Amino acid sequence: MDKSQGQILLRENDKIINEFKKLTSVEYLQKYGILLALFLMCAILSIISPHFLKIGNIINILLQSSINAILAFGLTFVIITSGIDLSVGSILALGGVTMGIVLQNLSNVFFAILLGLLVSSLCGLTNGLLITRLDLPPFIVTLGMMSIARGFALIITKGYPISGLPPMVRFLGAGKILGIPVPVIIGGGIYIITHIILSQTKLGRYAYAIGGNEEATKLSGVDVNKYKIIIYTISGIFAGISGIVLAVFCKRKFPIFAKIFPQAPVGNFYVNLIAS
Amino acid sequence: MDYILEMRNISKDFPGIRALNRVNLYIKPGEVHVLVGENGAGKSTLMKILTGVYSKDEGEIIFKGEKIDIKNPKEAQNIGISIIYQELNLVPQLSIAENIFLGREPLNGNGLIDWKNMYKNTEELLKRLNLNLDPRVKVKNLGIAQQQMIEIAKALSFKSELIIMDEPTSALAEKEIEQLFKVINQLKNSGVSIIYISHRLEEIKKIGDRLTVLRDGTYIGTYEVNSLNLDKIIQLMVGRKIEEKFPKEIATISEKVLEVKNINRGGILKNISFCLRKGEVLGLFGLMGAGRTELARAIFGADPIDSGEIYINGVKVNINSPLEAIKHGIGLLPEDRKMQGLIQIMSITSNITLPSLNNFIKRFFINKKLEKCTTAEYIKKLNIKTPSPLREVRYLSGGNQQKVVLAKWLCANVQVLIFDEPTRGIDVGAKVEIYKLINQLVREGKAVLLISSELPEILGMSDRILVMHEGEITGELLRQDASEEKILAYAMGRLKKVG
Repeated sequence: MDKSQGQILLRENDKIINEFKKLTSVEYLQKYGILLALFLMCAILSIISPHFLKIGNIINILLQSSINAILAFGLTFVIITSGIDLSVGSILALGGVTMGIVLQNLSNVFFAILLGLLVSSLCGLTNGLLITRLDLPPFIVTLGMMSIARGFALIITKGYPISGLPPMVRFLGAGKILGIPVPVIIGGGIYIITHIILSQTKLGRYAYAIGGNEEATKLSGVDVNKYKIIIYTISGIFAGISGIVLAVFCKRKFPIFAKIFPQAPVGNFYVNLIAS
Repeated sequence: MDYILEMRNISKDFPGIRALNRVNLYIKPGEVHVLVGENGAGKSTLMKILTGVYSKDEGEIIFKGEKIDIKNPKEAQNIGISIIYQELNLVPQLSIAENIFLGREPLNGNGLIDWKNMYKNTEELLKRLNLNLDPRVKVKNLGIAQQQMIEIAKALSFKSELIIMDEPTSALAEKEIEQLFKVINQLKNSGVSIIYISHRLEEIKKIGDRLTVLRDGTYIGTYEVNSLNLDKIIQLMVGRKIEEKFPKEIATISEKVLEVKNINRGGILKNISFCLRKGEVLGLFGLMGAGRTELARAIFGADPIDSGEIYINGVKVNINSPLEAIKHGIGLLPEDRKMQGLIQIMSITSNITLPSLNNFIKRFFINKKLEKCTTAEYIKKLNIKTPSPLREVRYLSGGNQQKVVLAKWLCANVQVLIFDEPTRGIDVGAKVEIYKLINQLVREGKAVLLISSELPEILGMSDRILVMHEGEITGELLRQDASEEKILAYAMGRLKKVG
């Protein structure tokens, strides 16, 4: 390539760069619009109520949303692969109930938590296997799992609430470290883990690739099925974690009912998360 | 008024390329005017300017003696210019009448849809086309040919005096084509002009009155169809600059890299055997449905095979998935670049490193710095035009996207590259760049399997040519022995190699 051609190319590149800048300003709004709306809402609420912008209130909001948040982080993986997991609410219940039952009978905290997580991850794994091996739509599979997990939760509790959790567990739900409630800390930790997995690891990159174009990802030599199974399992585990936190958060006063966790607020939450 | 439409000295620039350079098009009232040219010659761009999809940079358009400036497709429709695209734009769930009057339904005094009037008008339109159809029938219950007629009826409902038909026969059977031609003749006799775009040269002689040739965005000329024979038309379309278009360099061809033996796949691939050597460009030609893409996908592990063996560097290998194919050094640049080759919403970097991401992992984490440096190298080497390696590939042009797909495989260090229709939908300048890259690849000792449905491309770039017909390899030709006639004879199954 001679000099003049090179200059033409450079000029063209400039043109493209300008175009690029224009595009980003629009994209910027698309990307952060929801976050801006959140700030706007906070600003309005702060003006309306003098109690809104108090540390106590903010911590309370974080506490209230920490369980939804953990669910949403798991769902984020699934949604990024352009899948859907409707069963998280039920898996949450099953995970929490499993831990509760084990605690009532064995009073071994670690074993109880472990089993709760194991059961919920098995639910997620089953979702993943059915979706990939039988090539079923995620909507149908996870809708089925929603009923199955809820059913199991009702069976093992025989429909009765569980009460009488040992104080050691209650720390997980009601304890505070440096004034911050433990569920908030757990939620924050899981947020960081989610963020690192999605932005820094192979799994995260493949998740985006699968969601962007599954066929092209497969043709790039990625074992798409394997990663989808992992991702549905993660969604299950995260649902289990939130179930355990919820179980202990409720203390004795609010025994756990093996009921489906309300889906609507969860739905809103993860949509917001992904958009931002 | 000699002409219903005059397009004078139309020019159009896209970033980095002049798509049209002072092109003329003159249409007489009541004629079928054929517009021909190779892919990328500028036919579609010219039609998009005429119908207001693009704006022109230079030139003027005179319609029915008046200078016009069409800003959008709706305006074109209102003044009487309609276009019928290759992909029909009908709503399958709606009836014929609803489709024809979509968005401009006649209303009665109460502001409700005047169905009676709508059906009556539709019936009249259908009668004009000699179609015996109920306007209440849903479009999804009609065949492709009938749907096309509905599009024509829709064009007539706008009182169009000029109808553009883009490859109208590509999806039609022989008999349906005849029906279409009958309708075209009828329209012609009632004074409607037709711009007819087609790749099927035999049709041009049958239906066309005059013909305009475009080549690489320039105007070649307008001729009476009767004054030309097919060879002359091809010559006008292609020009004589084959060497410039295909800058082929012969590289040193050495040992076998890939050998396939007796590959079979349920009636689609039959006993396919061939070998591919280092430094070689092996062309693979076949007509539609011959099994070219299927063969590529079978070798790449994207589709399962029933029987057959694949050898890499003389060693028998099992390839059951693209992952295994890549491990054995095979890369596929798929036919459908957008849907299969790239993840449009990801960055150039992420796309390039996708098959070889393991090489960029350090203790669970992606080494983004290394990733970016490596990508920048390929961007430079392949001359990918982009302001940043982090730009999403959907913003790149077709040629640059193809280069990203290529970079992906180079980054994965594959030895065999299968190019499936590498230059489809890419402009002429970028095509030459892709060919030069193929030269460079074989010079570096890689092996290339070049699949194409464009004969000049196969003839221009291959060292050796395989021809497929109905799932079989029917012919093998060396570069110096190959000609269009021979290849086509094999491709149509008229000739078959012995042994």
